[in-house]
This record gives sequence, C-alpha cells and structure tokens, in this order.
Amino acid sequence: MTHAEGERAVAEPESTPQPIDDPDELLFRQVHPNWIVDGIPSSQTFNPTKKDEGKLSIALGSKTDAEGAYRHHVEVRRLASVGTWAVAVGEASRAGRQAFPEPLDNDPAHGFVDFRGISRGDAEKAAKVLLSYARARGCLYSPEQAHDRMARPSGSPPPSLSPSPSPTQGH
Amino acid sequence: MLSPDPFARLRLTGGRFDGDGMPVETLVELTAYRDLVVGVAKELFRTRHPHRQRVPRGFEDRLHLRLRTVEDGSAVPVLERALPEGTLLAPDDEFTQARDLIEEAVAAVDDEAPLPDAFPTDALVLFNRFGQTLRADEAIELRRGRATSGPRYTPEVRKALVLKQKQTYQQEVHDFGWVLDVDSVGMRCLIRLRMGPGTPIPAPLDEVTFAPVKEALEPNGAGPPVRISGIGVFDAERGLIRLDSIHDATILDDPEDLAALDHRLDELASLEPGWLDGEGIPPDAVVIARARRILADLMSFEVPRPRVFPTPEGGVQAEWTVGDHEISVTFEPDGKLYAVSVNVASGQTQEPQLTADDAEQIAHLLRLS
Repeated sequence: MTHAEGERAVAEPESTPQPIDDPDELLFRQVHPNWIVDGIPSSQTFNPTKKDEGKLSIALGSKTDAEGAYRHHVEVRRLASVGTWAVAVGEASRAGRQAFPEPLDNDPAHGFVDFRGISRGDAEKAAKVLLSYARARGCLYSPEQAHDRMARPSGSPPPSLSPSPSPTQGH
Repeated sequence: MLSPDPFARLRLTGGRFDGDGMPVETLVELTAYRDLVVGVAKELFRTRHPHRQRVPRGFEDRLHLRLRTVEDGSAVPVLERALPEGTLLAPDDEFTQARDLIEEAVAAVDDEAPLPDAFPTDALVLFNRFGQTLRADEAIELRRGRATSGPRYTPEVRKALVLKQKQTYQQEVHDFGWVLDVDSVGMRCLIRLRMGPGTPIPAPLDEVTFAPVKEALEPNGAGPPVRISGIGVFDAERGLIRLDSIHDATILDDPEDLAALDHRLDELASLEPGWLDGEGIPPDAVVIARARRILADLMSFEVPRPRVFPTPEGGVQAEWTVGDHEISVTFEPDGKLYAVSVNVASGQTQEPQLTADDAEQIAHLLRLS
C-alpha cells in the first residue's frame, strides 16, 4: 500500500532516485489478515494495488528490522498485519524489479519496489516470484511468534507461521 | 441413399466446443435435435389433419438422420437425411418444414419478436430436451442445408422458448448435496443441494443411484456430501423445485475440503467495504457463487486444494503451488476469469484464456504446470 495521507516523502528528489544496490538487503512487507491461508500469503501481497500506482511499499532492512516494520505498520499507521515477510534486493532484481528508498516524514525506513509501467501479466509474474522467495524465508516476525518466544522454555524449537517445506527455488 | 444436401449442420460454439473435436457427452444433443424435429413435425401434421387423432403409423420412420462427419470450425456435426427408396431429392415434407420453423422460432426469440404463426405452441415443451447440456457460454448455430449461417440457440433462448408455454423448464444440475430422507419403496429421496434452494428438494432414484444415496443418509442430513448430476426442474419464479432424474450420485471422498472451501468463501462473503485497510470492494454474491461452484467442481479432478483470497476490486482469487509453479485464477467482478501460471524457477509465464465456468480448463492448467 502507498503511504498514508500526511506521510509525505521527506523531500521530493530533484534527480532520479538511485535503486538500492545491496543485493542482500531485506525488504520487509506486511501481510494483511485477509491475504493469508494455511500460513501462506497471497501473491497479491507482493503486487501493488491500483491505489499504489505501481509502487509496492516496503520497509528497508538497512533502516529497521522485521519487528520494527510490523510495529510501525500496525501501531503507527494503524493498518492490519499478521506479520512481516521479506525478500532481498537481489531477489527482487531476479524478479525483474528494482527497489528504491523513499523515506517519509514519520517513516524513514520506507521504500518501494517498482512495478510502474508494466503489464498485468508481468506484475503477476514478479509478484509470484517474490512470493516464492518470501515463502522460502518464512515469516520473520509475528506477534504470535513473539509471544511464543517469550513463553517457550529455553532450548525448544521456534515456531513458524510459514508451512514447511518451502517452495522449490531455482534462482 | 443419402440426400446430396445436408439436412442440418449444427455449429457448436463457445466453452467446450472451442477445442478440437466434439465432446462425447454432447452427442446427446444430436438425438435431442432429431426428437425436436420429429415432435414439431408431428404437431404440424396434427394441425393440418385435425380430424385425425394420431399421426400415421411409421410417420417417425420417414426421418432417418445420419452423422457422416463433424466439420472443423468449432464442432459442426453434419446431419444427412436418408432418402426414400427410388428418390434423388429430399422431400419438402413436415420434417423439413419443422426444421425451418424451429430455426425461425429460435431467431424470433433471440430478436425478442413473436413466434412464427405456423409454429405449433404445443411443441414448445420439446425444447426442454434440446440444449439441456449447454453451458452458459455455449450455443448451437442452426444451419439448414448448406447455409453458412443460422440463428444461435443459447441456454437463454431455450429457456425463453419453454417458458412461453409453461411455468417450468428443465436444466442440467451439477452440485453437491446432503441426503435428508430416502423412500426405498417409492424410490425417491430428499436432498438439500449446496447451491440450490434453502429447502430440500425431491428426486427420483433408480437401481444405480439408490445405493450411494442410501449410504450417504444420516439423521438431519449429517452424512457425507454427494456429488449429484441430474436434470433439474426450475420454476420461472421459485428456481429449482425438484430433480426429474439423477444420472450420477457419488459420495465425496474428501468432504473436509468442500467444508473448508465453503467456510473460506463464507468469510469472503462477509467482508465489509474497505476490508483492505480502507480500500477493497467486497466480492458480491454472484462472484462468490461462481467461485463456490467452479472450485467445488475442481474437486472432481486430481488437483491440489486452492488458497482463496479476495481481490481489492471485488473478485475472488484462487492460488495454487504446483512444483515450481505459482498459479492463480481470478474470478473477476465482470464475470471473466483471469489465469496466470508462473514457473518461479525459469520465469516462464502463461496467461491462458479461460472460458467462463469450466473447471476442466483450470484442472488442465494445474496439471500442465
């Protein structure tokens, strides 16, 4: 989703912004409660809606972490999420998409994956490839995981929102 | 000897007919067409011979139709007429007149014009049988002789023709149901259909369907769901009121999948406007019903269970992971289906054109992936 009203970009860039070039940097994405079944997000999670105008909002791993991204989404922006999933910049690149920083007044970690100017089929393709990477990585933060972590005796395995096994990756 | 000119060429278009050949299950339409022609011809004879109680003995045998070929360009079965011994040309008799009147009646209804005066209204009920297997996106173009075009006989035209004379019409029904009662003496049952009316409907049983229906019977319809195919009778105002026959009754192997699908679609049906953080149109009842029907039909095939989501535009999207493929089929609010299959390993993408309301095409896509 695009940034909310009142969350303007810090400054309109005078020149074309540079894409993020660290292939390992994570790009966090929140999953809406209506877009997850059996622990698997919908590919729509990684496809901007019409309102987004081709910019898929993400939080930059260099500026925040999975929990911070979740908290900002839910507690500051008051939007719904079951948890944080992520793809890396290099994975977005392999899906044919570039990621850009786009810091906002109250969200310096904000960025976007660029879907502007591509066909529906290309957007679907990129979203599905991004979903496959995100599924392989699994849910990186959810309140349930945090709760379980607090309650779990030391030495027991961590829970996961993601089902196993992860999808085949051929990249 | 066969007439040099075909009696009729029935051009089957849309849906299942867009592929090669002619689906075997639709061959019954050729018999139904022949029965319609004979039925209308009989009524024409009676109209012209009001003093006669019955048509002459052997009347029906004067129309021998043979299927010699199925032309390409959708499926076009060509029906040729056997000529009487010693003749070279087909006679212009009640059968050819019936063929032409059927075409004119179909064209009239399609144009919302009155039926031709010569059409015997007692024969309208006969349209019940012809076109029973047609799906919403399919049609039969009626071409007499060597004509290169003809009126389109669609499910809507068929329904309108039958309802000109009666309050009810017949239509194939494919659904899941729960058995509430079985009358083993009268060979009847009561079934609550998944997509049908809220109240149970009666249906006849025969030697083949009795056993599975009886096996699925538990108090209050708590037994397993049964996949039902049959001929339903629909009232013009009240909808489905009974089944006139059941061709097939099969107990569902995986009732929990159907329950999970229905539960999920119930969740989607209860979404409020703005369900997606302030944006998001809830899917309307028509979209939900289509998804409910087609995704349940998919359970007849060996394919994985879908993950089902709402779309912001008011559609329903089903997603599957099959090997390296991520696949989705979207039931759009405008009635279209949009499908895409992506091999996430190779990046290869397909966007096949799916005709509406055909689970088999979706199963094919999932199997190829």
